[in-house]
Amino acid sequence: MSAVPATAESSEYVRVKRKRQTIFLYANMPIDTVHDLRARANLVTKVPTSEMRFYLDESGEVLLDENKTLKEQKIENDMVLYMVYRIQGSDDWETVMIGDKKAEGEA
Amino acid sequence: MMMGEMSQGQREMQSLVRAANATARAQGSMEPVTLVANDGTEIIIDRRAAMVSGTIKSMLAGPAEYSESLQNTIKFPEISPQVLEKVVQYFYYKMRYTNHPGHLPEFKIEPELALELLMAANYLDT
Repeated sequence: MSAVPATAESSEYVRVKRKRQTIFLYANMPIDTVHDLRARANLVTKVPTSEMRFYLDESGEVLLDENKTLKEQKIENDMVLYMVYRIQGSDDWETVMIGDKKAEGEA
Repeated sequence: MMMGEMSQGQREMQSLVRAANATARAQGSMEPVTLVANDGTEIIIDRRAAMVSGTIKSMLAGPAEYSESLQNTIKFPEISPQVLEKVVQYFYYKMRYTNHPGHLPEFKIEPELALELLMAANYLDT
């Protein structure tokens, strides 16, 4: 059915989390950059690639580097990344939310 | 400008090219299936991984009497989000290491999840 063989290289993945959603996205660590993750997330969520960002940490301090591969940023198979969307009609971004709670413990 | 340093324009151009390449590579890379845990948490995975479960496979591949095969969304009212995520991690582990020669890395299971996981794996025919 799929043209992509299930080799070790092609079946590595990251877990992308936002609110009550976890998306398992394939990731080819030595080749892929954050652009690849955006493009793959877009196929699932239909959110435009310019409207999403990924953080390495739940506190939302370390953004993924646009110009490095995932491997260069020490991202390994099965790691969790935190996704946020741009707040509509503004230049601001959401704070990281996992489940129903904000990372900073706000109500 | 120092040697090897890129101008803002060059960097933007490089970024655009990368984004275009990324879009091209992403085409057809994943066929999403949504699994819903007992608290409404959604886990979106590739159909290939979901097919590791015999139960999910028959739901997705079955005739139209299963509404799941049309919507590509399957609800698991008895499975907690922690256990469901662990099960999915196992799907990917299984997919990656089936027919893999040599040493297999350990699949870690937290003791407090073990019983629930066993029941879920049994139900999912995994």
